[in-house]
Amino acid sequence: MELFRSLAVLAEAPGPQHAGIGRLLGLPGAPDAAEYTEVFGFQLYPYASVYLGPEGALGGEAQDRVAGFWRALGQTPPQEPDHLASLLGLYATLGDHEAADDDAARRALWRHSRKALFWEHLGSWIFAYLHKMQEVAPPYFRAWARLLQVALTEAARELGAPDRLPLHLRDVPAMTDPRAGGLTPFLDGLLAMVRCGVLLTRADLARAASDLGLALRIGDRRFLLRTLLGQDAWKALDWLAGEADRWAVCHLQVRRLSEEIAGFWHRRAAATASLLMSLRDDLNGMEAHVRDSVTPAQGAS
Amino acid sequence: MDVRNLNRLVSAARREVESRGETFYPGPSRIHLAAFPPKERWDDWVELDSRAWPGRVERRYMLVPTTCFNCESACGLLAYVDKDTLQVRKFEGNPEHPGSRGRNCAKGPATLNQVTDPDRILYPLKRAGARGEGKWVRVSWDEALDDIAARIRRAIQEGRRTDVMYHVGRPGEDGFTERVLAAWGVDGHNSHTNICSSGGRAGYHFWMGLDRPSPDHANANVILLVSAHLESGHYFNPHAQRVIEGKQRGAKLIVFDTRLSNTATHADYWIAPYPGSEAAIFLAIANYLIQHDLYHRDFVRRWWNWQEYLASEHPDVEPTFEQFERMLKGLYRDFTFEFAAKESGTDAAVLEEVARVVASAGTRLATHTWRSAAAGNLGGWQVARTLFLLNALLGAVATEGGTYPNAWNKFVPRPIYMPPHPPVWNNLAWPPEYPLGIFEMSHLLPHLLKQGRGRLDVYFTRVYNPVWTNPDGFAWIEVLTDERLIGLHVALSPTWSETAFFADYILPMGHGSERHDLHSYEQYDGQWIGFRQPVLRAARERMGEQITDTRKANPGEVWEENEFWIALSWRIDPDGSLGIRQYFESKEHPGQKLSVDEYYGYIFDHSVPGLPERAAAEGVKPLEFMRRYGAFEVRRTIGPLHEEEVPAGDLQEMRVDRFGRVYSAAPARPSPNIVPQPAPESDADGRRPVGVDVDGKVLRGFPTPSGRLEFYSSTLARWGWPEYAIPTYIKSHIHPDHLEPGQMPLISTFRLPIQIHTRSANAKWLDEIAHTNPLWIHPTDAARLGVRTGDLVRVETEIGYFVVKAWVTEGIRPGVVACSHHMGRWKMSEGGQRQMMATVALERGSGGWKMRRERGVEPYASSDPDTAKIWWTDVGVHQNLTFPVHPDPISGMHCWHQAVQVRRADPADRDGDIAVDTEKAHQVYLQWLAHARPAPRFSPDGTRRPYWMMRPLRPTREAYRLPEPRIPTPAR
Repeated sequence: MELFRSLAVLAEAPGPQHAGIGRLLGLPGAPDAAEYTEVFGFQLYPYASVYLGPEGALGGEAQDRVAGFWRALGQTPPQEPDHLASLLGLYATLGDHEAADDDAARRALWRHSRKALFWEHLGSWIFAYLHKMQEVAPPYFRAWARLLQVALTEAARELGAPDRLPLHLRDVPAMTDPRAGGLTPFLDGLLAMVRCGVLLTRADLARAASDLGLALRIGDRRFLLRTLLGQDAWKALDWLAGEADRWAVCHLQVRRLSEEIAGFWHRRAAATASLLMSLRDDLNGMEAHVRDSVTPAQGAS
Repeated sequence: MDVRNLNRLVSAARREVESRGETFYPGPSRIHLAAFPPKERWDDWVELDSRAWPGRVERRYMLVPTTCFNCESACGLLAYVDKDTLQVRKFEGNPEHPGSRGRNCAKGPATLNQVTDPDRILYPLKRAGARGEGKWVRVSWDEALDDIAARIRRAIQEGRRTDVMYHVGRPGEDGFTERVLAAWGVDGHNSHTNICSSGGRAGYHFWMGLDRPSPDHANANVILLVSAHLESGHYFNPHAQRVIEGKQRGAKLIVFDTRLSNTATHADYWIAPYPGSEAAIFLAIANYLIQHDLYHRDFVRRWWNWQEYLASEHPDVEPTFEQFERMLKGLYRDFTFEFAAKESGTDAAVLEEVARVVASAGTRLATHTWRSAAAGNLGGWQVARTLFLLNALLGAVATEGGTYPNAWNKFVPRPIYMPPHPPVWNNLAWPPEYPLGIFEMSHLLPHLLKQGRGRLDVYFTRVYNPVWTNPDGFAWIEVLTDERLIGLHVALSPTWSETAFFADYILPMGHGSERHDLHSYEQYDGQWIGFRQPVLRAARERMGEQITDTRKANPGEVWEENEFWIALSWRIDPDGSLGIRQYFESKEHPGQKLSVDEYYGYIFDHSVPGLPERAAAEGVKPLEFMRRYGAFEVRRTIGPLHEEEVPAGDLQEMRVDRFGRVYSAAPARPSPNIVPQPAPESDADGRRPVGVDVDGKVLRGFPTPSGRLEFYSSTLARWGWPEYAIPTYIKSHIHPDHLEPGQMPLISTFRLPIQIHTRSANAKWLDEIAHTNPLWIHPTDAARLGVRTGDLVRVETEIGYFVVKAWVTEGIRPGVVACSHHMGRWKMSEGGQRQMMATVALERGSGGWKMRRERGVEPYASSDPDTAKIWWTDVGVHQNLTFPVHPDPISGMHCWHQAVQVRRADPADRDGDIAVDTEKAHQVYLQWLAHARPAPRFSPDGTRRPYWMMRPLRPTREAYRLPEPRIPTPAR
């Protein structure tokens, strides 16, 4: 469990002790504060609620659910109950309790709690997150993500597959079709991984602009998407559909750990790819929404 | 990649590191990642301009930390300096600040209003007509400095070292100005504390030597607040967030407040006692703990000075702890819940339930009182003393979740120079009648001057507005306009105030983002320093400019005080012959002025443990680190310092007195932390007290004469107050026994959560939210008086009356009225601050003074378009003018509560009307003075004051000696 605890610490802002811990784990070099900020503060926010909540944002019901898990264990939820470091730390603590308890029945309870934590609040999203981190992060955090992925995969095997789909993934609204619901909910859906099955970072959108030869505007991801669509909707939708396709395949890698979870994510991404392609092929209907939703002032800046 | 091997590897490394007593894992990041711009981006932070919406206009900012200068909490701020215009566009919280942790109340961001206030004072002004006439001319800093310096130099040369006085409201720093005065050799420090917190401080001071509590709310099981501390008060923001954390952990919150404050609404138990009865309730709770043997017996045995109590009060009984326990049961047995219920008007069963909750806290009882009841009542200091009794009974002192002595959670780094103690005693600040007064008797200054006890040749008011803030403001006007009593009045103020109107010079000093200060406050079990800095100067320096005079970066010719005092001191002693200049000279460049960079650079290089290393890890110098982050946590988790063993090296020629106080001939080790501490006396042979013998070990103990917690104060007993030597109950001056028929208590001290005395009146956002102060009155009282909300009522005090609108509310206890003190700002002409100051007519006749509001506030054109949108006219009433001084004879605290008659206003009365007879006010002063027990009659050792007690600026030991056993005779 110590490995999880040390990997958890490395998901926090780097301090003087981090370099030593990283060396122990064989990570290359030392964590750089600016790189940390870029990765965790701008690309891949380390909060479960961002990936499990239908809003695609920090907090909300998803975070409440994680906080409820802490309370169910009799613990006061920390300020950020769904921060990856908090979750990994809790996972390690539960593992320690399990290992230290002489009573078989209580040990089973600890294990049950650990398994529940793992699949409900970690395994339900973390593999996609780590996959993306290995794509966009600089070497130090790429290596960190790789190591965490290996450790979590081993943990998943040791715990066995979950009995059922995690609560976060049940009854989650899917993507909305902009032709029926308008552009804004559509964009919201594209930025909420649990709704679209796709994890889009700022770096991805910068790559999109570069791949498509479109201008990259300064702003939040929603704005970036909007401006890409505004510049060339066909290209943007085509690119996004390709991304969704890629994610549909990628999610299947988790199938060997949990069919249900992998299936959920795969279906979400595949449905998104399908929707995006249909939008691409129905550009007139799509463009009207793009036009209507981009105000002159926004377009002019 | 073998996961198991890595597990083993990390486990082994952790065991190895922790076996050395070191920490392997750092604590979790304290920064809420999603809420603050990451510090790596503070040099170039991009945001869209909200005002340009729906356009998307990028703004590039440099984020520069500073510290809020509104209340005393000193929360961290981040100034967003526009890199294109070099203007501050907003202030938000500084996540690197250990106390406030990135969170602020409304007043912090409103610093922007103060900076951009179109009515602020930007240049030095000198009066052109008579004092108070309102005529001013702009002068240069050189002219002002030369004039002031010449007068001070003359006073020093002529041996008139008590003729110079500096009177401070909000200090906002830790000791800089005290050292300036010490360097001048004048006992000229005066503070506002006796209208603020002396009552609370006294209760703590007599218990533990230190005069402030530092409750660990976040880890408490039970939190007991005697105030509206969640929304206002000292350190309320840093404390409030920790109180809420405590509540989240399941702590119970008990609030004592006669009003239904916002804090009361968050309480599990809200007690609204009759004002002044709080100590009776605490004693009833204490009695419950004692009679049911619920107290921490071993803590009481080890840490209370019960042996001294028995020896002094019961010398004939066997001095055993068991004997003391028997006595303790007897001492408090009359303080039953029924007695407390009778005094407080609160149901006895409720009090008993609260007592059970307190008892359940164990050593996790966090308690706090500061102003409130301790500041309102005669004997209010017993509120703090009896409240801390609960901590002392439960052993909840310096424990996790308990209450710490403040100095243990505060770090004041040793500066570059430490001037000697001044060799004089100033009777205008420390009159002989109040030898135990906790701070200067500042509220009595007008009366002491009128009595002919002294004269002030140069009088500085600094961020202080006694005409408005203090009781008896007309008496202040009378002395401020009398040049025979005050030769030169210099107001150091960033903005207009009722006191600045009566100045000879108004010298503009910077707001929180325009000045340097260093401070540390007790806000949790840790020690930190916060660095206030002029943010535009810091921003320009980060861009490569070199700025040595803060005026060059501040608006207009606004200065900061560090540089001002250094410059003034050089002009007082230009050639160094007075021995003053040496304390303001550069060490790096002898013969040149000390710069603020060198001053703070020295401190950060030499006196803050861990800071140089931390800065080096980031590749910067300590000063640069502090300019970049604004705060540094020196240490976290201090723990029970009193339990620390005194090192053997500190025990030379040790002597232990009969109560276990340990004295040593070993010299004191210089500490980098010079946090103010009491100075317990040495023994007859000059050995200094270093600790206390507890069960055969020499432990550090508390900085009291006995080294223990002083349940029994030999100081009180020896200096004329033996009846109050142990925690007890003193009936307030507004106790029902003391009221005349028809009188009610008026609570006048409470704050509004988003205002802070007069400091926030030029913050337009705050003014719009809160700008008036109606009289809270219960429906039953309103019905009796025939008053409805909005009706005018006349509130009659001992010396006059004020007219105010009524607010009928069940949020106040029946039989009590309340009026917040924040409001009622005024000016006599068109000049001045226009957002919150009504224009008034002042009239002085044979019957005293009258004030009538001629106009409320109104919209006006200025550089800020928002001033044309002012929609309110009512700015409340200045009730403090109608209060005489009520100095508590022991603590010196002004006892704010008033016994008043409330009635419907006369037809001719207008909102805001005030009438005061200052002759009567002086008579009330004399009546209260008569209750004092003066040092010349009661001093046990021929000194003016117990030397061990704290004093902001401590004179030499010789100055403590009483010159002659005589009390000055009143001149009138």
